[in-house]
Amino acid sequence: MSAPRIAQFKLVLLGESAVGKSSLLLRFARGVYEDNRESTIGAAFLAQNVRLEPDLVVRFEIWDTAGQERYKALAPMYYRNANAALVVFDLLSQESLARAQSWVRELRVQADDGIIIALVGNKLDLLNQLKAESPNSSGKIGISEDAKSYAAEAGLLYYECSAKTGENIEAVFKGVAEKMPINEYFSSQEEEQQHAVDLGASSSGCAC
Amino acid sequence: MSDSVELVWSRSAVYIHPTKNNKDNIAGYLSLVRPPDGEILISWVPESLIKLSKQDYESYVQVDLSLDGEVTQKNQVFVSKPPSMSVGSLARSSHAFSIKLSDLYSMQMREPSLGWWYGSILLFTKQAETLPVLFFHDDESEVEKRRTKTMQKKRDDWGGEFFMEKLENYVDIRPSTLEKGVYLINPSAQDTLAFAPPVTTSNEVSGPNSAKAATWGDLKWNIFEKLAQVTRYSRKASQSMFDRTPAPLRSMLNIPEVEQLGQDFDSARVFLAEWALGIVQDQEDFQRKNININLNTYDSHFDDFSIVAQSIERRNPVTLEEWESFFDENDGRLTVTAEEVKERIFHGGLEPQVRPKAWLFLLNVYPWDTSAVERASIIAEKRNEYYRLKRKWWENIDMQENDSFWKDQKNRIEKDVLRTDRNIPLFEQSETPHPDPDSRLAQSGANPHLEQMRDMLITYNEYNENLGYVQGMSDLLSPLYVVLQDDALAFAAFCGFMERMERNFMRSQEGMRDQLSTLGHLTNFMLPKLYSHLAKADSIHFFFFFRMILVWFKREFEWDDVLRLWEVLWTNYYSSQFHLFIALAILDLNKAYIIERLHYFDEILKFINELSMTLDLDTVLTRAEELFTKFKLALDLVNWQNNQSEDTKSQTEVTEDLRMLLSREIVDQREQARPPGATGG
Ligand SMILES: Nc1nc2c(ncn2[C@@H]2O[C@H](COP(=O)(O)OP(=O)(O)OP(=O)(O)O)[C@@H](O)[C@H]2O)c(=O)[nH]1
Ligand SMILES: [Mg+2]
Repeated sequence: MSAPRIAQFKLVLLGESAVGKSSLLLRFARGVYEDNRESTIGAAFLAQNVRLEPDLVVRFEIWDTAGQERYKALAPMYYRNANAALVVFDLLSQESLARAQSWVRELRVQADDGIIIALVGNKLDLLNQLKAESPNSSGKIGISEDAKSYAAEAGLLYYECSAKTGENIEAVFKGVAEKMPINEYFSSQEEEQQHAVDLGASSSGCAC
Repeated sequence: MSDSVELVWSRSAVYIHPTKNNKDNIAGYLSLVRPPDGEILISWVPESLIKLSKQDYESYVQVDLSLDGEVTQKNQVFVSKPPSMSVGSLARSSHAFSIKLSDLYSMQMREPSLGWWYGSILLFTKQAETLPVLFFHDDESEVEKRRTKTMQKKRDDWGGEFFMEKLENYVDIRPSTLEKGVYLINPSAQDTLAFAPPVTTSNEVSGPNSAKAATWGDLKWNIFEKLAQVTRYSRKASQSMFDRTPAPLRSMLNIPEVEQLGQDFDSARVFLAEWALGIVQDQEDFQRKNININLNTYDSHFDDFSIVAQSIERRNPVTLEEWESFFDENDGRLTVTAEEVKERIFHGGLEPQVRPKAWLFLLNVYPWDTSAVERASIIAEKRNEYYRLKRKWWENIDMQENDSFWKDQKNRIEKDVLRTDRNIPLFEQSETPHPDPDSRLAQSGANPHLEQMRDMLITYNEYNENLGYVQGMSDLLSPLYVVLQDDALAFAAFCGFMERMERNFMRSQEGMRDQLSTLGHLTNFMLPKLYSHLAKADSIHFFFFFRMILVWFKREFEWDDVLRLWEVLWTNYYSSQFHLFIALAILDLNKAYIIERLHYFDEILKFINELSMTLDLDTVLTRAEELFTKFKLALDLVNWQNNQSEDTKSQTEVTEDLRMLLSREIVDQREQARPPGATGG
């Protein structure tokens, strides 16, 4: 079998501090989870592949940003030219969902038009645990419903996952990978190659 | 023993530089010897010559090392008579010379400039002969190394000073009030009047246009003007003038006016010679070190700039024993200067046991010039202060329940404390359950140190109302708490640290922006090739240094190295902003790779991010010190160059932020009052 074709895209992680952006990325890219990892300052970078078909790989270049409010002004540097954004919130924090919504608004205005945005609720394990502890509770637990309906309204991909247990993590990245403009990526690549060939042909003169 | 002389004083690593080429430098011993007839001689003999006699060599070494080269009456040391004892004659082949003290007319002292040139001495005889210039390579001198180790070395002292001190035992040395650095030896009344007139009390400067200028002043200015023309001309025309030391002198003296002047007033000749030689020699030094005055070529020249006048070496950390030896046993006051202690810490850092003591000084919890009793009382005060501040919010139940800003900040602090340095044993997860299961900190079990961290940060949030807590601060506090292991002291130290770090956390980001922009200017100035590469890569905002500067490289080095780096930076030894030279050093160490391989901001950011935990601290510190040294001399050079040319257009501008890097005062940038409704950090 020949080597798979690789399409490369830029993805950025945004969301309030401590919702679990770094944990989520680490789970996805390295398969590990660590309680109480340090907060992110500035931004961190990782690259990770997602195999969509036996001969097709999407390679994500991922920027993990700092959620701290004070350094919000730096974010445009990281989402500039991004093909995808995961806007992460904590399934148990109403506030973090509000922050996520404001990120979505900012991306709509500032980022590339074609950017694919996924709203990702993290810490699903905690939500499940709470639900298990109060099975008969009639009141709603967490903010799943609000988030889901917001995502539908705003036309976002929506996922719930847990970096801690790893539940649903693959699905998030795979779902986003599938939305990537893969065909466009390859055709623009071909164009570039063609351009190079054309140049080569013209410079070497007519071979007839 | 007719052929031997008593060796009174000697000093190794005194060089002559016969040509511009460093390879031709000759190492030797400068010494004072007493022949049997009793009249002291100054002699300089090449080391190679001395080494011909094992016994002589041992004697020279012994005298050099005997506590600043002094020999007591009892253990007199004798050596062979230095060559060419005849007054003032030079043994051409070996360059050795010796002259009688009574033949010494004057001398000129030229202080070393760190990284720029070695300190040197010019000796002038009454016969107006020119002796080789003596260069003190103090970095190679065994005595200097010992003095540095035993903390006797002062910031600016150098070999020439010791020579002069010694000389003062035998002759009357009078500084010229007309020309700094020139000293007359046993001057006659006439000479004194001419060269060392009493300084007048009026502020009037004798200049060419000053009607009140003294006669000699007029003459002097006249000559200076002439000389200025000559040197300017020769700089452009050719190097031939500098080829041999006496040559420029001769050509100077051939100017008719000067010649006339010389005849009119004989001693003027010597004065002029001193002055002129000084200038010429300095220029030779510029050339010797192959530095072009064109700023654009600094980079390439610095690359092969191998001589730094004071060798840069890391030293062992200060031990507890050494630390204690700095203080008086009785009253606990420093017996050395704070400057010396800081120099020591800058170059070596501290052993772990010393840190709890030394950091309180470095972080301004108490001043260096206090007694043990005074320090104890300051500590008691700070302790009261901390508990008072803490009680204030602790007891304010209303605020805790209703103030949304406060609740928000507490939340943020707890989130961060849980994520700060948890791999350090002190902050480890505890198996014992937390007494209050509703506390956010409960997930880490009952670890009192996490509670302390939280309380200190909440207290700081209340104490510095304008700034409040901002993320990143927990990273700055944690090492202080781990080292001091005392909440009140750590809080006091943290407040001291924050004095200079407040600028990093401003809502407007002004302080961070300023530092990144200064780093940009500095890179442009020192590493122009790299800078233009970064410009092409859209990266001259230097954002990839954001994390390093925000928390002072806390995430780039291992824990122990962070402690070392911070104590070095706290000394403000060269600059209160030495951390920017650390950043510059990191760039410099990686510039080849960056220029060759990285062409986009993303790539550069990724690369710099990934340097984390791969950097060797000593290498970075040494490089940073070298870069600072070069920076300082480059500024000197620019100043010098700008002074040379009257044409303001051709002058090089150095931005104020770069000049500020020479300052050792911390940059005081404070947050404004918190606007209503603003959230915390
Ligand atoms: N229970 C649970 N805890 C999680 C999960 N993901 C993250 N956490 C915890 O949440 C805290 C914050 O996680 P991080 O990954 O550092 O958060 P972040 O969004 O990267 O935060 P910033 O870097 O400050 O923006 C960590 O202390 C984790 O222990 C999860 O899936 N389940
Ligand atoms: Mg993070």
